Amino acid sequence: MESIIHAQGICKNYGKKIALDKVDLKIPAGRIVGLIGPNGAGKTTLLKGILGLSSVDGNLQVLGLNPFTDRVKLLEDVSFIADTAILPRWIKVSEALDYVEGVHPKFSREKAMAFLAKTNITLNDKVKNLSKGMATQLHLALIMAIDSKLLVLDEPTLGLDIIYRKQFYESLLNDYYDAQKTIVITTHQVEEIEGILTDLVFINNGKIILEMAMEDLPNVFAELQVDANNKEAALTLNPIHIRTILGGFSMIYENANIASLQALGKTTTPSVADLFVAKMQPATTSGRGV
Amino acid sequence: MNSKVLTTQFKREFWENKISFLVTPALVSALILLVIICASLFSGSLLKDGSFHFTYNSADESVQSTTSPENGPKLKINDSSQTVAGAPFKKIDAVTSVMSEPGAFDSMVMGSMYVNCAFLYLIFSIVMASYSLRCLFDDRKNKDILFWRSMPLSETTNVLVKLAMVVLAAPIIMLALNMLITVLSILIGFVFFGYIGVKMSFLLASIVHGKSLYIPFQIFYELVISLLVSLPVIGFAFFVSALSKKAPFLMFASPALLALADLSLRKFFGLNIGFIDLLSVYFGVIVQMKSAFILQESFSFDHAMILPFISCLAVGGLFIAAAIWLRNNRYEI
Repeated sequence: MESIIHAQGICKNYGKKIALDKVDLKIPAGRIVGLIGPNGAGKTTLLKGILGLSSVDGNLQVLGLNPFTDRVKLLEDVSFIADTAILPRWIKVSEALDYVEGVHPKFSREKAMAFLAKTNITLNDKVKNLSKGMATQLHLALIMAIDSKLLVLDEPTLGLDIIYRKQFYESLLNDYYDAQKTIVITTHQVEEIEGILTDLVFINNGKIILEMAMEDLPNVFAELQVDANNKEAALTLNPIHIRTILGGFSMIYENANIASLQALGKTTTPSVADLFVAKMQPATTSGRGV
Repeated sequence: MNSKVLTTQFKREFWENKISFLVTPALVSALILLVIICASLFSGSLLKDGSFHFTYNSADESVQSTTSPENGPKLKINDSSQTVAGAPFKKIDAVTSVMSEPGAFDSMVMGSMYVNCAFLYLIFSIVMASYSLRCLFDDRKNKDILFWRSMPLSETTNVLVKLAMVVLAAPIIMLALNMLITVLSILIGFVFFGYIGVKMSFLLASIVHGKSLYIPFQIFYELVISLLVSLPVIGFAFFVSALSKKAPFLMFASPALLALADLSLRKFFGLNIGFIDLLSVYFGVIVQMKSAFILQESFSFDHAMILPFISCLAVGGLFIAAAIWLRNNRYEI
């Protein structure tokens, strides 16, 4: 399958701080990828590199183009909403539509208007008079009306209440996504996007520590709930993470024998949030001292 | 780069800066127009009570009207061939005689336009200085730069359009407003003087053979030239606007500190870092081309100006190029 994003050994340093450390990444077309990592993990640096907002060392190609040198050409097929990419406060809704229509060859005013018709936003509103949720709806309407091949969302729902967050992802799925489009999302509210992701990428300290299709998760990771009686037996199977829960322990395993786990307790596929914590806290991987 | 993108980019600048670039200058011109209308009505009433004093000087083509109630209506034409000072005329005859002078009406119209132009110079000086210093700073400070950068438009285009707002759009707006004031002054003059009996043919001839319809274009040309000579300053303002993280104005004022340091080093240590010499050279260029900067002085380009002019463009261009580089590589605050 054709790769929309192809990164090979990309690095980025800010002074002595290593933001990206030989990152390899391949994202095929038609996927919804969750790029997840703690603060300072390198998510935004990676996205900036992908969007051509900053240069990176190594081989990075997005839609077959060098994002930094071919940024303008690339942005005809790539859209993004960044947490800080707020709409200018002085602009009117009609002006924002006129502007994007004027500069973007793949913008459909009809699509944007159709999306705005489902909201309380009027053409004469100024962004400064809209609530944060409404401004995000407007931004999403502008971006979703662009027939791009790749959409990058960097903490797009930051600061929104749960209703707007739900609406945001519903609109994304219902009104934008199709098999030809690729979406890369970073967010700290992992549980909200878990249901829509097709792929998962974990990043920490500038390195990709997990890159996997969601459908492969059950084959690789398992969560076992055991009571105190089976704790020692479960620990011998080398969980990558262990935590205390009501009435026992929850352990996460990577590439473990499922039959062996099922003999000790209830097994499930770990949630993305639990898996994230498991992969990000290597100090507890052995489970010793718990 | 197609024209639709460029047009949209200019529209964006006008949307963002409509108060500075459109509303304020238009209001100033509207006020000037109001003053012209009021002056016409007021002088009309003075004509009725006979306290109107009217002077046309053909040497410098100036028309002055003053009130001198104690002396009654007076006509004064200063001309090498004709001097009629203090001669008593009937009030309407006095005005009619003055307006029959070939350049009189045209000079009155130009006077109105020059007043408008002087105010617009003042307004635009403030607007352009402020715009140049904040146009590449505000979107970084307000954090909407990433929205603009999510569009397929290069920073080169973005910065050059902003530069064109200063060196081209502002002069065009000034030209439009000056022309508007000129045309409306002519129309008001036709109505006013026609009403009191001045022959329309005199007025038309005065305008057709005069300079009032041409002068706004001359001012436009001089303004563009003066802005291009000022490109090192404008370019530096753009550079500071793209570089500054807190207060662009303070950084913009830094050359004054450098000049002071240069002066101190010369005085106390005998060291010359050459900054004041550089400023002196630039000041010399401005003096050389001063007629482009001064209203009512006619500027014409000569060969001696070519090299300094190109040097100004080159220095300004370097600052603009640096601003574009900063926008591409160091845009975050």
